[in-house]
Amino acid sequence: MESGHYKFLLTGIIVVQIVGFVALWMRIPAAPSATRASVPAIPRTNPSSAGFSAKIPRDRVLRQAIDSVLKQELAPYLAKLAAAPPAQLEPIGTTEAGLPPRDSAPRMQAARQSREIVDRALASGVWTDADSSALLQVAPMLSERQREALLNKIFGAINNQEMKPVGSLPSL
Amino acid sequence: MKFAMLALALVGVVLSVPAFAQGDYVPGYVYVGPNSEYMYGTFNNRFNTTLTATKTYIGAGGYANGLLYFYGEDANGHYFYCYIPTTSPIYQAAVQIKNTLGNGSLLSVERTPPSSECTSVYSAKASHYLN
Repeated sequence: MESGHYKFLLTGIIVVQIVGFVALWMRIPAAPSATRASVPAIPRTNPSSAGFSAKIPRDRVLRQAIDSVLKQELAPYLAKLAAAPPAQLEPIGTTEAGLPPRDSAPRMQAARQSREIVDRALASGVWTDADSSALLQVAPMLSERQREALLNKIFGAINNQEMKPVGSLPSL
Repeated sequence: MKFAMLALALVGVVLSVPAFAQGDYVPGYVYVGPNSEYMYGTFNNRFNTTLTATKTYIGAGGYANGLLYFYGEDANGHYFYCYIPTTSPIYQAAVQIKNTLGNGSLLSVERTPPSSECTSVYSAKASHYLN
């Protein structure tokens, strides 16, 4: 009697699972057709049709009108630009604009201080918040090449697991 | 009897739904390769509560028009830090990648030792990295 109950229960569970699976399967929409259906159809235009060719003269007139207005408005600015000498653009990052000469006392001092900060941290094996803030104080006097050299030293030691960053990121 | 079968069928359907509705999820992680030549990880490592030797993190930063950084630490306490100078050919693309990083992001960066300049930056965003 009991085995009959178990059989009934097992059959019931199997039937339930199959019915559940089929029910869910039927509820899942076919993805590609749904995507396709959601994309609005693009109306095809025939370039040789009367509708398309009829628009061209109107566009041309409009463009000519805009061109003439723009030319009138921009004429004084274009004249000024033509008279000005071409701007000397430096590649990003290579500029030392705003910095004193490389061999000036403040820059030499900043370079020495930054080396000392990094060397001290390397010796201690730890990079701290104090190191970061000390480096940030002298950083404005360093060129990007000098910053890069320092970073290679700091990050190199960190990557070699010789120095542990315990504070904020040693940024420059 | 019919009512019992119908009730069982309904229970089965209800129990089956969570198995289909559950989205894929990858617990957050950070991995630093040998010699710290590369690192990859997901930003949802912040929410991984698995006990590890060290607390993992991964990130990026940089000044406007200045040096850019990618960094992290894996569960074994290995660090990876690399930078991208403004003169690098991948600088602009890396800035864009840095600005898109966030919840759901995977980041992968490489360097060529002994230099710590990043030579490759890859990122992806995926539902299974979301928290």
